[in-house]
Amino acid sequence: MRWFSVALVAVGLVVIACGTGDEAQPAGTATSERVERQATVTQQQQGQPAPAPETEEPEQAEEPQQQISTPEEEPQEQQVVELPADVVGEHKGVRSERHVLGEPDAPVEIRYYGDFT
Amino acid sequence: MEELIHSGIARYEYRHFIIFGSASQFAAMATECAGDQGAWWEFHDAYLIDARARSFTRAGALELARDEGLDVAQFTQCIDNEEHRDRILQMQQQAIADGARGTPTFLINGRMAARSLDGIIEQVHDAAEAVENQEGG
Repeated sequence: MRWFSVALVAVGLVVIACGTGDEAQPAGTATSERVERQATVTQQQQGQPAPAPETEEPEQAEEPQQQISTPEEEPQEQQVVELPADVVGEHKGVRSERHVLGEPDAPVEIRYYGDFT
Repeated sequence: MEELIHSGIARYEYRHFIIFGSASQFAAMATECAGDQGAWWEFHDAYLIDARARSFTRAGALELARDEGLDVAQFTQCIDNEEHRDRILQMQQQAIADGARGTPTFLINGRMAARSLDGIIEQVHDAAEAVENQEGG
């Protein structure tokens, strides 16, 4: 009986040992995943293509477009508009040109801002 | 006001300040296009009193251009291409820079004028007197 009890204890220990071994496998898998992530980060730092989500690419592409559009807008604001030569004539007995009635050397300028509607 | 201009005391300058949208914008452009052919003031007056002009339509403006003896093809091209858009925009920006917040706004020698006609006339005379004093003194 003693030998049988010893054998049972031995079998029990073996079973416990095997159980511990099964639990160690997922831990090993998790370690592998961390290693893979670290490798990915290293690849990204080195400028190598990484399996990043595709949605990041359009975001990166938008930035240069904004940078391009800004310098395009600035020259438009700074553009010098060439206006056609004004025609000098007479309107209701007064010297006239585009927008202006009266003599150019008149001491007082009355500027009127208006809207036809 | 006319007397001040006729007498050589003042000159009058009209500038567009578009605050009522597309109709105002169109009228301003049509007036500028007429100005290319020496009819700026005729269109200015028409847009104040003429019913055809005050329809604020393309057809009305073209009819007016014909009546004024303008080259209608040139006028049509000008308004269709919005050739004076930038000029009007410049005036708009200048109006805001001058402190205009609505229409009508008068400035006399660069200073914001009174809202009443009597007040404006008085300010014009004061400005003319100030200029005379400067020249005399």
